[in-house]
Amino acid sequence: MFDFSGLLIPAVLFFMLGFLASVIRSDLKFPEGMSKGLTIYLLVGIGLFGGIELAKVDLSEAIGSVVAAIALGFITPLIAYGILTMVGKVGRMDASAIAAHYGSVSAATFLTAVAFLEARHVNFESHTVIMLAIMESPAIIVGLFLASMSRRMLGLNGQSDDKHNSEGTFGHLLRDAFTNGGVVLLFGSMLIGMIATSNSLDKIMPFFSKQGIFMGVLSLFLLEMGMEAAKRIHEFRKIGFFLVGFGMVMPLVGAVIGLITGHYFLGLSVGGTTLVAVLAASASYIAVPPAMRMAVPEANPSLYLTLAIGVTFPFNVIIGIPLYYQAATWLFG
Amino acid sequence: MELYAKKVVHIVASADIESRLVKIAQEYNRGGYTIYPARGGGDLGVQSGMLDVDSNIAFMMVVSEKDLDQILQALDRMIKRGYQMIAYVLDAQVLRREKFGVKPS
Repeated sequence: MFDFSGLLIPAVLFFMLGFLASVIRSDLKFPEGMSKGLTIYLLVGIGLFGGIELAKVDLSEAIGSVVAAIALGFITPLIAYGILTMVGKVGRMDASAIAAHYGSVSAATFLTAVAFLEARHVNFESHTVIMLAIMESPAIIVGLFLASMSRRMLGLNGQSDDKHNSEGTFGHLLRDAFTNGGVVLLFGSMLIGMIATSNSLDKIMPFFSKQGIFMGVLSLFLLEMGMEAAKRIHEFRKIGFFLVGFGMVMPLVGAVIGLITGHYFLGLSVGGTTLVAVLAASASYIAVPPAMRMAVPEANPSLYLTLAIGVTFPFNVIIGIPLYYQAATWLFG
Repeated sequence: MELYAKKVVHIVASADIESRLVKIAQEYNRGGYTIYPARGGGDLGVQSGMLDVDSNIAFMMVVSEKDLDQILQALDRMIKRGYQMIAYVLDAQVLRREKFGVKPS
């Protein structure tokens, strides 16, 4: 049975409040730049947490998670592309860009899942944080590959045909994928968390840790995400029934792959397996959209942004996370 | 006060393609440009400006009539490749002609 108590955590409730505020046309609005600032804070916080935890474990234990993260990042977009083009007859360029989003991850969904697990006092492996950082980027490579293949199939000119477009070369786009601000912050903070002395970290952790103000900031961010999601409801008619359905079915497909990976391949706990499912189920709204806008300009950005922010994010936060947790507990009998 | 005729190229586009527009300004307009954050909506949905991925910019450069065509052609190439933008040209009267690459006579 669906356990509704999963919805009664502040982060999720604030998400619903934001959603409601937008639906009833409240004039609630965050100050300019605030959400961008909160995003930076959250990425640094989760990076530091991951780094501190990773410093405590034997790194060879985390290798399996690294390999699994890369594999998930490559496999899920290929499945998404297959569903979009074969079942939905979505245009190949749009399908390439959308697929890349589903191979990557949403840090906010991951953090909401962490809040969900902590509310239930469920422990999870810290390797999952490194998986979060790694999974931001590989899907971009798959997206670029799918787009270039689609261009050939459709007889469109490739990036290299445009002499004024030196920024469109594959190498340049790859560099963008790995130097994206979000990716640099996550990895950089993780490294700082690993190498900084514990005494010095103690001084800043009240600002960043989950025992400090972190979960409060997450709640504020989710309030804004609720408003952003609701603003996109009007786009549903434009993007069509199939894509809205895809935005809810694809997370389930990803979650099943994530559950199998977490439980059978990595041998993680219930909490860790839930988080791997969440990673595989979520869709990026940090690293992938700018990369796709640059590299696959033929794709319609409103399709992937509406799907990632308006459909899949709310689906995962409200239905997905409790469902994946339930499924993970079933796996453990 | 003497004024000089110039053109203003005004572009509204996603913040993600800012570097492309800057490159055009550097190549054809000696690097002069102004960017301000923008938000709005249209065919492609809402760009609320709250998250990095849904932020627009308004990109403005004052150009000479002789450079205008090359700049518009560069923008047209981007639009044909699929980059989403609104671009239009306005007439302007400027002070200090030398600011725009022409020495005072």
